[in-house]
Amino acid sequence: MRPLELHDLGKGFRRATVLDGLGLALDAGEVLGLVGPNGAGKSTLMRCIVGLYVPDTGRVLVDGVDALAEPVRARTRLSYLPGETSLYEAMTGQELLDFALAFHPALDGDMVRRCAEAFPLPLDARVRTYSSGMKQKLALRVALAPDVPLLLLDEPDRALDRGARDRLYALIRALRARGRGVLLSSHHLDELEEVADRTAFLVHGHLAGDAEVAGARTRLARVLEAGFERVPEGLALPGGLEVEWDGPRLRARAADDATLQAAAARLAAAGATSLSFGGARLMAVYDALYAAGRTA
Amino acid sequence: MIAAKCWREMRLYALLYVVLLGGLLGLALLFWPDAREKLVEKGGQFEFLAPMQALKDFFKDAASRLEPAAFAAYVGVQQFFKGVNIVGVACAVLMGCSTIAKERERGTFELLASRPVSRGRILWSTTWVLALILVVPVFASSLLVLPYARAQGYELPVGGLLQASLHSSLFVLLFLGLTLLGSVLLRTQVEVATAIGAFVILQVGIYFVPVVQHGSLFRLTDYDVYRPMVPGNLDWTGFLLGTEVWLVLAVVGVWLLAFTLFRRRDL
Repeated sequence: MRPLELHDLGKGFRRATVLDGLGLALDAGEVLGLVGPNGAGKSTLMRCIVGLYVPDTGRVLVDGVDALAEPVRARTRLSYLPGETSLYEAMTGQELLDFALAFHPALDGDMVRRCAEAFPLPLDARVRTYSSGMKQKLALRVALAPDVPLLLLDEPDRALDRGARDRLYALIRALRARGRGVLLSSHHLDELEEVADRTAFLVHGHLAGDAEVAGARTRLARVLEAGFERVPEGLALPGGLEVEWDGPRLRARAADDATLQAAAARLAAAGATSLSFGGARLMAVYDALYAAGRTA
Repeated sequence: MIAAKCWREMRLYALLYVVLLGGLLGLALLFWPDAREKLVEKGGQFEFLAPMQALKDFFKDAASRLEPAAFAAYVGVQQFFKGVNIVGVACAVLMGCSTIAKERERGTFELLASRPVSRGRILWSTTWVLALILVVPVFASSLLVLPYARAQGYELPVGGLLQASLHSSLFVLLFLGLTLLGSVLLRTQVEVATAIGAFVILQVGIYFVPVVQHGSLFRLTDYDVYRPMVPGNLDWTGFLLGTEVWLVLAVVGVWLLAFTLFRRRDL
């Protein structure tokens, strides 16, 4: 049974449509990165799954449970980290952990221990004395501890330093290894790319189709960058290339692989000191999909 | 757990409420002998100054040479007409604003409502604690009048004080329900406090205008209502089947509406 299935999910606020017939499936043991600019609807999507928002249309299945018909039962099968960390500040860290985790029918004891090691905190101090990073770590200890098939993590790396982010992603990999499904949104695209099995791009209320993303990746893969000590004279490149010079650095985009290979050979012969093919990194795909005019 | 959290957050308000309600009643009782003496001496002068019939009736009763009747009138006005109406309603609005709207405003509702717990349970666990915080001091302080009355040589009936306490408690719970309803419908504490505060002020304002005062909710708890209750002149059947039925229905209706809307709304 899949941890999460969304069918034709729609949600709007007054005149603005945020989610428009969105469909999604997340397998057990899969980490799905959810990407989109601010306001694209990532948090709205997660809130609809959790039941904080009531969708206008569609179905939400959490581990096979209809989350709209049986929201409480569905929430026994998921854990959620909100995008904006707001905790009960009058409580101590330990009191907040005890309070928030007491509602869940089962906790993953090993994950509780690993979270405590990864995110050590002064649990006898009141939450109001914590820094924003410490509050995020406490919220993560709450979110990662329940023994549930689905985890929804809305910007879990917010306010975390580099070391804490690395430990977080290690924990997410451990959750994946245990067969949990993780839906994860983040603006740290390089790190998201490392941890996510798939990435879903939220565009105009729906997820960009595989063909659209693959197209962007292909376009980006046909980029060649070369560096010279100084701009070479009499350089002859094959036709069909879009060439930009930035000082002694060249960036060329080709319509096909053969042209790109031929260009690379000529650049090497002309004494290029560096030569690289543009990898379709997540950041670049993001830029391509959300270029000016694509997003509201 | 949610109830314990609510109590923890509200205990200072609860203490303030007990101190205000009990303190005002205690002060009033301590000054009773002097007050009575002056009321009797001045006779109908206060009655003449009173702006409305309910207060004219109170001064007439309190200035009565029949001491037990005068004392019952005094307790009715000080504890129920003044104390619970002002302190109880104000605290109901204050505490009602400090629950749902406050949680939503500071963002903690997302943490709570994403737990495997129903919205109905969240609201109920919060509201019964508030209801107890508001109602228990009304009964406790009212019944504490009994030993004082005996010490002064008066015999107030327990039934009368219980009836008046129940009636005034239902009135406070009605305002708590209205505030919860506002808390469900509106986004911030300021919005809820403004809306409910304006409603209360309007109701009080209407109450003091003779022609339209019957449109005020405070007519349900003015001295005319407590006048027969506190001395024990109402039998329980008549009491329960009279205004109380409608008051209970109003409270239940407002609370049910708040619960129903809360279950269906985006948080």
